Amino acid sequence: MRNLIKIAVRNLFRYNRRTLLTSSLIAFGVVLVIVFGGLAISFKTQMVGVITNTALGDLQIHKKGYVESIDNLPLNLSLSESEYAAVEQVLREMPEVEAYSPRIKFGAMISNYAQTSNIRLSAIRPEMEQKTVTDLVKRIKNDSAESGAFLRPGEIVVPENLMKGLGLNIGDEIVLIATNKDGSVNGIPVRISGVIESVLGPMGKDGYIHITDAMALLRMDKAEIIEIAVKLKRFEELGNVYQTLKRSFDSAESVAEVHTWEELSPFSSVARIVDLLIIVVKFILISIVLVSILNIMTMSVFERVAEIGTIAAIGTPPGRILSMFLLEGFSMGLLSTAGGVLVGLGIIWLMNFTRINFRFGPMDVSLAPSIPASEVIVTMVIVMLVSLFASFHPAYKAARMEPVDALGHV
Amino acid sequence: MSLIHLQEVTKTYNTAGVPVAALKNLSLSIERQTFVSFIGPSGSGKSTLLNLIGTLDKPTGGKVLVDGVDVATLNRSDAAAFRGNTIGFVFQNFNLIPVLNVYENVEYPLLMLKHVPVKERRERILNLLDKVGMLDQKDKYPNQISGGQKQRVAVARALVTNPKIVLADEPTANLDHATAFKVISIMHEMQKTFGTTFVFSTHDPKIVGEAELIYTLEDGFIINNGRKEQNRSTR
Repeated sequence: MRNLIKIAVRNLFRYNRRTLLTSSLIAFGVVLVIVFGGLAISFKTQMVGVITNTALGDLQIHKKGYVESIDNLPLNLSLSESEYAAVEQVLREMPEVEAYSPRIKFGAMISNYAQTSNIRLSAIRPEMEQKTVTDLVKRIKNDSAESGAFLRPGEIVVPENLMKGLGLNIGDEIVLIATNKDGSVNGIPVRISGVIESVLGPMGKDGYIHITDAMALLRMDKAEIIEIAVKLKRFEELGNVYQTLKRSFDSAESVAEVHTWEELSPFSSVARIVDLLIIVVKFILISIVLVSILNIMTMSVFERVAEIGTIAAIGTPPGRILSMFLLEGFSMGLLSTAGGVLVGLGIIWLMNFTRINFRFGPMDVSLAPSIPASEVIVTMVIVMLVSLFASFHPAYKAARMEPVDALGHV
Repeated sequence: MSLIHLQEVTKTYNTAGVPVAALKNLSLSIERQTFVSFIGPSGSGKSTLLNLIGTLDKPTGGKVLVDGVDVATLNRSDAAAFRGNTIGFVFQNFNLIPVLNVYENVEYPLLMLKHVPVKERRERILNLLDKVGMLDQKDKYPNQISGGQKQRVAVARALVTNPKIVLADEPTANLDHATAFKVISIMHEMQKTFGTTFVFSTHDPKIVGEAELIYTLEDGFIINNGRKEQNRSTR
């Protein structure tokens, strides 16, 4: 084997310029996959982080059927106190769960006594919300110095566009008017304690009030929870936790259902497009490797017909000739991918060093590209396998040559 | 039993749909440890005959027995193994592997035979390189040595597996006279030292005189054969 490798590598460097050109092309493909993959994964991770850590949480639990009519914010699809307690019990028993936050979501009218607009409200317990969507506070500009109390009973955090639209300022008093599930209308005055920049873009109209205020506004004796946002200790556990929760809510007597952030956020389709783009880039790489190796190996076989005849004549079995050419193609792939990986990782390191900052809609994104080791390994394995595959036909041709014909080749 | 036995062998090629007979009902036997030459003009069938003996090709008719084996019965892999163990080749164009140095070129056939231990392999190679006068050039690559030196390396490569037969197709065609004689004398010496049967083809009458047994071919037939002395007298 050692000798076969030696011959394969020496044959590669027999035509230095050609080998260098081909391996540069393959290495360029590898660099493309690594750098693009690093940037795309970093972008996706950042965006998902912003969405899950400032609004949605990693998972959400609702009453069955709620998500289908989520745009209407129905108040009748809520978890009763006992149902919420049962869900809470399940969450407490799961070691993967870091925190959870119950919410009452509803639509209301906001009035500054002169003008009125509509608002979508999340009524929360601030201390639980802050543990669940840890970056929410960072998006709120408020008058409270204490980060733990960004919202108190009697206060509201208003979305930025409503603040501007209604000409409101922090400290102003406004009135919230809402219809409860029985159809009766009620209103309460609240003070603006902060302004929030929406992660959902300039059209976002999401405000926050304390859960006790929502209960008063909606005339609830006991909190009827619409939504429970869940944060996991490790985001990578999302799939497993989702399946576990799904199984425990699957029974007929359970009234809850679970959804991942992907099922609730429109960004999930952007994330899927990013994944698709990474796959497309990998296909480009496969095409580059396939064409380059096939081309160089075919040339190599046709240039060395007499040599193949010689080695066959002096006793090299056809299988060994096949291995020799396969190894040559494989070595080409290995050397190119090693070079590509080094350059690609170098570029990623440089990008991390310089940092790329930009705004994506309302979100500040600071790209710190990084590529998981598994992605690098998958890229290397793809190149190596495609190199072997591309070498097979020329290698097979070489192995099938009749020595007498090959020796007579000029 | 003869080492090489050909019985009514014919070989016909199809050239653009036209059958061309290269060998016609050819029969001959070659004994062990002889130094045999085939002489004849271009197209007389010398190379075809050597290809058949070397199991590189199969006859259209008749039987070719080499060391008791009917070459027509061997498949590709068996033929390769048979060649590796029984036959050494020396080619007109030397056919050394350009990416291997002199030592590695001689070593190559041994690597195809798995049972040769490293130490023995090394001894055999160095001994042969010494015998063909190429020991001091063992680290050079084929493009760094002369034609005569290349052919000496080729002779060493052909002998390294201790084959029963060495087939040399026009081994001196690309060499000047002095070098050609040197190569032939090395082959002769090797034949005496190792008891190998040497079969070579040539169209050079001066070189052919070095053979013990000479066959003259013309249009696929043997038109003359005999021992060296006999042959010289008929010339």
